[in-house]
Amino acid sequence: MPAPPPIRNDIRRLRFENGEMTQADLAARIGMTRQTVAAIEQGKYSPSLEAAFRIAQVFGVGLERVFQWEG
Amino acid sequence: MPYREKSAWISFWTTLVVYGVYFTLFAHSALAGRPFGLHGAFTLCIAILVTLQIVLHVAAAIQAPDDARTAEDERERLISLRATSGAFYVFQVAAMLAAVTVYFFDKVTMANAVLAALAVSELARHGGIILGYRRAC
Repeated sequence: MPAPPPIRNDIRRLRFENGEMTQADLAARIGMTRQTVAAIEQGKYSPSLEAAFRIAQVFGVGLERVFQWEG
Repeated sequence: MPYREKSAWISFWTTLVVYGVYFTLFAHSALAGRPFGLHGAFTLCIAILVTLQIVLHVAAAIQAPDDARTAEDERERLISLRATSGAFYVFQVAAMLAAVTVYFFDKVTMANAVLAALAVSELARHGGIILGYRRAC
């Protein structure tokens, strides 16, 4: 099994700060499945740059507020 | 379980069971020295496989209509792509083994060996998709 990518994310916290937005809500707004949002949140899947920007746009923050490189 | 993972399980098990029965019948005939009509049994096998897959996929889609309607996203496309790529290597090895049968067996056996190579690589593809979903990617 490949090692998880060295990218941390704050999606869980950002969802909480945005009215307890559900994974399904976020998924619908970025055109992805709930399972994919869950995989991103758990650090098991690194989204494409486009998807990362979409997520940041939903929360109205910059990309670096959502994803942090830990390599 | 998401619809597409369920779909991969349906495809995996129907392929395994239908081709398993087909190749068991073929092996029995070959061992008994009886001729095994390729197109009759194989056509029936394909008809059963297609019917089973349609019925089970429709049933799965009825259980999760929204999930079934949603287009594949980038992670699902990646899972599918990785599984297809892995299954290609399985197919290459299986096809080479099928080609070797030309030196030892008749035409019908060789044709069935090619079919077996296709069935094994399909199983590898569906298995790869299931593994991708189990690992989250």
